[in-house]
Amino acid sequence: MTSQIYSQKKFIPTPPEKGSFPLDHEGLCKKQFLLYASCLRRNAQDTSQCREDAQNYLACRMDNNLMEKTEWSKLGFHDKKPAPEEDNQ
Amino acid sequence: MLRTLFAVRGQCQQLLRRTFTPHCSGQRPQQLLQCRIRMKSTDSPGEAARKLRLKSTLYYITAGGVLIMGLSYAAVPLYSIFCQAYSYGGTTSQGHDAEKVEHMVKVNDRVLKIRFNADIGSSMRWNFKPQQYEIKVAPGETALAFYTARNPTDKAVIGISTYNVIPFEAGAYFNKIQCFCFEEQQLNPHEEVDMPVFFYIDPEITQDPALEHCDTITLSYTFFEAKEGLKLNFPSYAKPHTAAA
Repeated sequence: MTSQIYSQKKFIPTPPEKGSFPLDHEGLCKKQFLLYASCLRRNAQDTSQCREDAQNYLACRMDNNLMEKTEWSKLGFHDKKPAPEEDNQ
Repeated sequence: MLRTLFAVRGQCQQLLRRTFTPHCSGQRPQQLLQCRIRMKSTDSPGEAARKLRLKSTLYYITAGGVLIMGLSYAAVPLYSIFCQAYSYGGTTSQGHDAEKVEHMVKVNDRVLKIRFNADIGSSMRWNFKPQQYEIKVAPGETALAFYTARNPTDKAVIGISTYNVIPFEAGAYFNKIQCFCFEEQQLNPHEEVDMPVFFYIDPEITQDPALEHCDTITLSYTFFEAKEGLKLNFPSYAKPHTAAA
């Protein structure tokens, strides 16, 4: 392993903070996903322009029990948007 | 005949008496018996001291051996606690708390390109690809990206994934809030799903001199088939279920 030459540090994958997304088997949030993807294509892959669509997608996930409901500020969205019912565990 | 047997018996007894009762020869039978019993505990003082020293040395050595064995067993969890507390050897401390996301500020003058790569293990039968080849992200801002996986077979397949970040130094600043890795994901036959990755780049990346000229970070996910009894090398602190906020 080249990473072990000169005792360099190894890459250690870290688990995500909030765990794993449950799979969207029924495609409940497919529409929001397509809106987000088309927004990215329009804006030359610049995510700063598409934060609202990203927020819509995550809201859809929260509404359909595919994601834990958390406040938007904890997810890095500081814009005005009605927060979903807080159900922090 | 009997006389010779008795004679032999007598001789044996005398021999035994002489070897085991050196201090008690020439005494009457009852006294001889008592003497024989007492003989075991009457050593000369020097002899007793030597025996005591020998015994305590033996106890010390045994205790030392047990202590070393115990330390070697205890070293495993102690070492991992030490590593996590002091971030020694590349382990990251568990400091990715939600408060950081709340208070971090977007860095406007630096834009990083994140490239996405999707791989599958050699025996994995899914079709797995990223939905976007690359996206532009500013450090300090959360971003969403998608991968698509499709199961073209007629059987439900369970997959499990891990990821890698290149360049290596940038991996320390790449924080995932939520994704689909490290947990078994089942895809039903002929099913296609979108898998999101919600992440952010730590704004402290701008202060790292090794990454000053780094514009592109590649995130690579690899899916393996999860078989019964398959054990991938996960970090010991990987949580199996969704973590609380």
